[in-house]
Amino acid sequence: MDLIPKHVIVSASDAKSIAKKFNTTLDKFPKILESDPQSKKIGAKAGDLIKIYRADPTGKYVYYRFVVKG
Amino acid sequence: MTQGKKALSAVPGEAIGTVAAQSIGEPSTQMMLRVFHSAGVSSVIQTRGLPRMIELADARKRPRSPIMHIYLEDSIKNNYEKVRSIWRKLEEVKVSNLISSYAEDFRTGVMTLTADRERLSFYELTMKNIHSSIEKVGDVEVSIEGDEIKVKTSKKAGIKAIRTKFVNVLSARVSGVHGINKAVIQQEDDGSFTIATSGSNMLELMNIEGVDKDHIYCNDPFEVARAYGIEAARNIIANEIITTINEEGLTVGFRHVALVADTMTFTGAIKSVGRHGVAGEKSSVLAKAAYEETVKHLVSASIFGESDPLNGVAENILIGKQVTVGTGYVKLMVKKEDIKKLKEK
Repeated sequence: MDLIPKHVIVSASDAKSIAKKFNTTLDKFPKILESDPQSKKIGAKAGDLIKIYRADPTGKYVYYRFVVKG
Repeated sequence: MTQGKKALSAVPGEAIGTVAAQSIGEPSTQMMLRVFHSAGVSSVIQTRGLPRMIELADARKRPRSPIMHIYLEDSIKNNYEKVRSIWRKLEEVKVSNLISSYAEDFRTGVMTLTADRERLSFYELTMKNIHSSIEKVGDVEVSIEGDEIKVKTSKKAGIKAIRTKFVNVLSARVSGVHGINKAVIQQEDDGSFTIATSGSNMLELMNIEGVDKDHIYCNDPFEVARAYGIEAARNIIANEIITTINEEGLTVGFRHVALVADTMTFTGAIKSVGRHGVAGEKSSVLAKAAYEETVKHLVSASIFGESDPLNGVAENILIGKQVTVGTGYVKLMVKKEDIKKLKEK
């Protein structure tokens, strides 16, 4: 099993359209801390949206996490 | 999307949380209530059954039996000798593991340790290693005569302080990684070697050369969150729950377990499921009061003048209103023009 899925920073304009697609605001997305090893690795700052490529037993899909201070 | 997958996907308004709770709750009534420490595959002891489930759901900071599976870099994983040299660096060896007997003299503040040559050669250590690790304790003079090690406290101190110093000397680490009690080399089906340990310390292990530092498996979610981040911790929680259930011969859909893991890691840190975590952070006052510590929640709500918009499920059951789930989730609205048309008819 691969423990660490791939994390990618989403551009600000894409983040807006993703939030619109889910009919919500960015701060209501699942969170990831700025101090998280993976967000440090890709250099994400608070306010960014991170796209995560998950591969579960149920299938492959993308998940989003909003970077918060901490 | 294929036909089958579409049939499985949840529709808006479906009570997925309740379904997940029931799907995990029912099989867990059949799980082992009391667990004996049974030896696992690797002779590394592991907690199982319901106690393990509770441990995961409560998000305990220190699990009862942390274990790690260490995978090694491709260049050395088939070479037994090299794997062995890494294994030797792992197991925590204390001074007390290397001596056969010791004597304490509190009048003079001298402790005499007798080294065990057999154990020394087993761990491939020398008297010098013991000497330097005891010196690291501080405020002691160490002298070696043959097999005997004399440790003298250099400061004049009371019996209590001397005794504390002696205990510190005995538990001084000579070699290994802090927190790892036991390490075992295992051979996989493809002939490569891995190392299983009881006790965990991922951050220190990631610095050891030869270890595949992105593929250490640890069953402690907090340890994984520190080393690999919240997404990996979420995978660990889901995987540990599903393997605990499967070990009992029971089956639960992964989606239910994944929902629990996702909810636990929603805020970027691991939260427990109970009243200190997920359930305690519900927005509705009545939903919190319906769960645990009813009076406390109602009192604090009345002091701070909180209001409850009754959007959730639990609070609507409480007051006897239609629950906002399924068909109760949608509301009917009629356009003004349509009403006019109806009246005209």
